[in-house]
Amino acid sequence: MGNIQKITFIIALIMLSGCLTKPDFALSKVESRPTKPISVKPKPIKQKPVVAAIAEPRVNTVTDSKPKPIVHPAIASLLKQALEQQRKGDLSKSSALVERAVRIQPQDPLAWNRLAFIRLQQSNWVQAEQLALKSNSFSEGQSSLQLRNWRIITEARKRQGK
Amino acid sequence: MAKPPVKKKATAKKASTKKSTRKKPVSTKKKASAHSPSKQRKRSPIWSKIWRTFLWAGMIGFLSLSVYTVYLDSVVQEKFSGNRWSLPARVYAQPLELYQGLALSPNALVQVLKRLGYRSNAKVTQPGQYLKSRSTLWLQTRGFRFWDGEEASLPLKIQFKNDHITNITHTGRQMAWDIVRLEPEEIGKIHPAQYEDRLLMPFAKIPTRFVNMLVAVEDKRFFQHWGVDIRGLGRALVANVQAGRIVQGGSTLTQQLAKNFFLTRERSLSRKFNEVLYSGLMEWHYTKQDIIEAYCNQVFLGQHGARAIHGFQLASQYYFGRRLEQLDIADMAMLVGMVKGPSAFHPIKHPQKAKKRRAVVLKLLAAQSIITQKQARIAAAKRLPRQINQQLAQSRYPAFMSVVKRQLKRDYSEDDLKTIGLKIFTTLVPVVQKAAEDAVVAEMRILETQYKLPKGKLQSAVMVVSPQEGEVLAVIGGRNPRYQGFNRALDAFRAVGSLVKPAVYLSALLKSDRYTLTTLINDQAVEIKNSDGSIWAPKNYDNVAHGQVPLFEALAKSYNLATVHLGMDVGLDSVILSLRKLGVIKPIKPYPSMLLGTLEMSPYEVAQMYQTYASGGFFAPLRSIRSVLDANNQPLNRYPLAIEKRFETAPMILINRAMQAVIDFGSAKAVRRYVSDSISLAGKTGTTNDARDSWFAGFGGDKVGVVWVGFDDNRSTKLSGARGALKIWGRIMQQVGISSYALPSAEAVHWVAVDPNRHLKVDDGCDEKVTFPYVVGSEPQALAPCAQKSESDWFDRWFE
Repeated sequence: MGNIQKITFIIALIMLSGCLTKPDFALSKVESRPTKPISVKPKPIKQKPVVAAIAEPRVNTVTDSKPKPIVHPAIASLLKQALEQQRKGDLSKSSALVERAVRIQPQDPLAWNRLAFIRLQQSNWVQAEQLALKSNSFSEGQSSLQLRNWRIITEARKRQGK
Repeated sequence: MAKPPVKKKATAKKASTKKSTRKKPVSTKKKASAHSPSKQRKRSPIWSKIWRTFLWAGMIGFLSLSVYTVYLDSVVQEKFSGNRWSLPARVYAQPLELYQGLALSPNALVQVLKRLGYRSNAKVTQPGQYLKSRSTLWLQTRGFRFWDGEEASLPLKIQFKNDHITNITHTGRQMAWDIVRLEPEEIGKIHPAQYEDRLLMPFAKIPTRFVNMLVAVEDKRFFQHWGVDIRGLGRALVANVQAGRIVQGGSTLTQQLAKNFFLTRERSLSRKFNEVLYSGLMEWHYTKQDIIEAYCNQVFLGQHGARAIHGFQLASQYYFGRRLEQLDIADMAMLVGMVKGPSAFHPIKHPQKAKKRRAVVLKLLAAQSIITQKQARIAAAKRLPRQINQQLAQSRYPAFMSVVKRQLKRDYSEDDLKTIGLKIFTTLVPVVQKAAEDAVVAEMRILETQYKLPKGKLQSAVMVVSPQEGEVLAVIGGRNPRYQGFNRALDAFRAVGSLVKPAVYLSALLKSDRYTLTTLINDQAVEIKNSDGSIWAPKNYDNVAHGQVPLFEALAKSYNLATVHLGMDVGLDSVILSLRKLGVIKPIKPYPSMLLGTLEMSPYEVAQMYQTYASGGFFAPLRSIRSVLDANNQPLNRYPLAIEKRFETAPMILINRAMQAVIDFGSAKAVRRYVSDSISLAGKTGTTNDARDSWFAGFGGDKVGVVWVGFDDNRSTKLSGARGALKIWGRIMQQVGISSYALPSAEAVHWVAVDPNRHLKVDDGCDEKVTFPYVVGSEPQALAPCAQKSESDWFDRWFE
């Protein structure tokens, strides 16, 4: 087999391995946009990175003690404003603010959780349940957030007669 | 300067009492007339007859005049009380949100600002201006009334580093600013063929200075007279007689409004008579403010194709790109001067005349002490606008607009859409739309040349949507993005080919006790008997059967035979059920050939299906509209984000992992020519029989893109999905950027190191291994005889 083929194969494998590493959730949270992640640009010839990259045991001990992801100031600001509106009872405005946050950072479980809670207050049980489920799909390792989501889900299901 | 005084406050009550009192003289006259002829009769029968005739004539005349006046009165009141203006619906794109950390280069921001009609200036002092240095941009936003509230006009300093925003500062308050929304780009209007356009402005929003200027120039005694200015009229008459022709109009603002509101352009005595009557009636019923407000919204100030520019607010934005309240003296004076002749004093078509006219206006204002002499001098020297605001040009995105209109027609009548001034906030991202247009236009030409296809015939359609919310970001309906007709993104239903395959594999992976990503499946010749007795014998794209292959590899390399075996094994019903849950609502015939994509779908429908994959199983109905406001900025309708969990996260992680492999070493690896390796992507190519359709559907973290390329008459394109559609997809994402698709994590999924070609677990001692996600309990149990053997075998196979 030719050298070119070999190199192509190795590059392919590296690309593959890059995806195979368990995604770092904290990182994905602050990257809802095309930033330049620190990529391990492969040097194909003198390499053992295939193994190095994928042999890493999965960092699996994520709990709430895990360092909190960097809170995006724009998201923090929007969620804060949303909370103010929610307290004033303007759920529609509050919801609009949270939706802006969701658009900026669609993998932020907190924003989805807030939206779910607003829907619950709006008596939109179906969406309250669905949005809380959505929040949970991004919240692995954040047990207190998961718990809050499950409370919303339980309540919303009860109201739907499920 | 104080607001002009309120002359009077007419109420409906007042009006009605006046109406009733007006009837009195008629009845007293009747009595008088009944009385006096009896005296006359005694004198002479002839005189009496003549007298009677006159009297009757006078009475009838008066009565009909009264009836006529009452009629005109109803016309006036109806005009003022009802929908005074016919207003087109305005359609807006998504506003750009600026915040620290946003990936955006200074130049990209300038492009956006230019599209919004911002102008570069050496000093940023007014809304709608910006100044850019290498890594800093100063601007003053114009502010905008969004459906959820007002976004104020802000003076900002934005700093960049490595094409990211690092800081936003409010320069007025010298403080950091977390987030700001720019005004949304206006992307089109829904209107009748010929139409009056205007932006309504209530009296309170009209700058006092502007009212004073207008009154000073057009009708000095406006706040004194009762609709008709006798003194002014007399003066005009004298001037006209002296000159021997009409040099002065002598019309008050009220009369001008009456003329524009109710009358034609002819010059006749009867028209003048009506004008006076209407003016009197308007003054009777309404305050001076009401009349000024109506005047400022009605006045005609220019023509742009089929669109008539009415009202000072729209004219201000049309000529200056700013709101009226944001104009300086010079610009206000120009607008006031234009009332006299919008085409004669057009600042772009007749700059000299316009400048002269403005100088006259400024002199007049200074003479009346509305402005100082110095202000007049400075203003007279100011440059006129050199171009009209491009943001208000004609609809640029017909394909997207047709998606919007289709959604609107469910909730609004055609007539309302065209006339009641709705404001429609859509999900379009102009930058993405532009990139998609450029990509299609460029690639159509290249493909035609490269593959020797007939010129000008190849077609394409594109959909870009947001994965988590299902918002439509861009739509291309054909190779000419300005073409208003057939929208292929919505209405071209074409066989989807291999784009259907992920649904087949997903159906298998849902049965985690039987299938995992590394389960070996059969890529061997297959023959299936159709219900009519005919034999269906599909082939692989390369005409080779590959034997036992891991499931993920069969998808990555789009093996037909393996897919058919798998699909028949899990059952057509299961596959159809998966398609339903992915969002395909059209009828699907349960034929085996369906497994290879005989199903015909539009790019829009495909985008819906891939949205469900990209969101990890949360179906979100595609939306192009977020909200609708009425002409007074009151929310009418919202189309909120709605989602539905259709699949568990675990199988979605598996199928999306397999679709990552499609890009990383499968049929779509050419994507890497456009998007860096460091961005994880997932997707699938599609090619139909004889390469009639070339498809690519792919997604990252923030965008799902679907591209179709083909001929309208179903001819062969000679293009596979990777050779055609993928290139357009790549160009778009290269241009606008796409974020990494991070596989979600789930407790139900374990990542396990395996030898994928043998479906064997490898242990930590092994050198070569690949980690795959498995639904807990489904991971391979058997251990590989590690290390020394692993290199040769599966290594080699991948080289073949």
